[in-house]
Amino acid sequence: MIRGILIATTIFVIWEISCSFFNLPVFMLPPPSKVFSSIYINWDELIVHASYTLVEILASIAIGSLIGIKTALIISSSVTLKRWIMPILLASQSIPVFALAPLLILWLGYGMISKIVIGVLIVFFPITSNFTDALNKVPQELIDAGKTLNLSKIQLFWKIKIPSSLPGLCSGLRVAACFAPIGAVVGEWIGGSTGLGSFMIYSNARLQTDNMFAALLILIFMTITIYKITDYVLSRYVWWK
Amino acid sequence: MNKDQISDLILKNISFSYYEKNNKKIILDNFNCKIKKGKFTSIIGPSGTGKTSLLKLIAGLIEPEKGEIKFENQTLKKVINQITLIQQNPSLMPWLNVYDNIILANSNNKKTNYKNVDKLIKDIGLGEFSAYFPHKLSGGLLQRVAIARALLFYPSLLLLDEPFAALDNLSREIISTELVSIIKKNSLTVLMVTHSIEEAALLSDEVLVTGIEPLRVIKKFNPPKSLNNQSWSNLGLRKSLQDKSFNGYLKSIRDTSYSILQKEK
Repeated sequence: MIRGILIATTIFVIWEISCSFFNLPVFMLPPPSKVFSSIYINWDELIVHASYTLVEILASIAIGSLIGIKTALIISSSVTLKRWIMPILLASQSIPVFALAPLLILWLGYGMISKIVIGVLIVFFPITSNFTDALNKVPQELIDAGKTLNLSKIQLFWKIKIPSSLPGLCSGLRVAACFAPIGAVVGEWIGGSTGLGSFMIYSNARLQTDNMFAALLILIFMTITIYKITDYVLSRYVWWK
Repeated sequence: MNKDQISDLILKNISFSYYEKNNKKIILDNFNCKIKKGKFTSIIGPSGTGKTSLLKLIAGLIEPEKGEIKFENQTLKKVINQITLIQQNPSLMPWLNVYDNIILANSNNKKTNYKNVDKLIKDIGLGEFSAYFPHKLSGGLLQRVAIARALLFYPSLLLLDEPFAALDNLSREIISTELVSIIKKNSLTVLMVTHSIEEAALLSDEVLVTGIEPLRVIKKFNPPKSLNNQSWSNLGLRKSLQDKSFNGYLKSIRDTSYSILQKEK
């Protein structure tokens, strides 16, 4: 925490001094003092936009996790299913989300759903990939130990395979917590009038660069907070490797 | 054949092989062996010759290509719930504490008598560690947990794959003595694979010396009668080491093992 504050303070100080030293115009790069003043002035509006973005991020993580976990369980249960499903998953990841976003907005409208779907598309793959990998790499000695204790297939799955794979799932969830804001903001850039992304586009069109940075700082703060909470909860409950 | 002989662990014409870099490696070829019910039998032989594979076959972890394994006059499938294996690596679940690791196989069983669990944990010297997680325990304690977990399974046939190999000499002596006293008390049938000739001679009612490629029993040894009625205590074990007849017994196993190794290399 203290280290984070120190790093942020150092960056802000260098940034402030550089803006003043090079005499940069505010519309090019506003100094942090101007950005903080913009946060203060636009606080009420920023909070409303941030709450939309937050809901979209959390919904993306929740839905993406469920789909990712379910897909991993299906893939790891059968080699045949893996052969059929994996190419589709890889194809879905090879299309840049920036290219898909306008289509999703067209199909699903300007509301929250399209942004959540974009977020889900970004989030579910790291979860699927990490969890599948972990499920396939459960140490054979643990499985053998379970078998010699006469555990049934269902017991082996719930008592050994799932707990042993949870650290892998957690790695995927941590990545998801970092990537989910990208989906929400990309969706907001492309369409709609709510969310930090749309506030940034609106400010950009009016050369209110300080407002853009204000939204960006709030987004960074939100992302770090979501990641830290995710990491804290996961490390507390899934501490083994 | 009397009733006891029928109940023995019988391995008949067992063949098993696997492929290593496209080369077929024959581990067992028409392997035959009989392990007496209620007795402690040890198998000794060089490493990498298929002794662990043999235990895994009996534990049902791998399937033989051909042959038949019978215990208590029943096929392996019917008695598999009476057989358990303690491996060299204790293979404990890192997310469970000692107590939960021990009751892993019994946690959903309503018939589990938790008083027995507590007594077993105490008897095996884990009383004060029952809330500890595996990463906080020493090698000796980890192996005790694995042993307690296997004993709570109430097996009729206990398979031991070098269970004391990773332990220091003192832990090895203490744990092996405790394990053997529990085994004797419950008249379990035990088949142990070990590299230690001394350990095999000290603990077993019968020692099988094996040859290599493929694995086969070359010679059987039984301890001299004077050792048969020794009490299984630390003192008993230490006395055994000073016993002349024991030393002769140990020497004959050692000489045979070395001559087989020299011949087959």
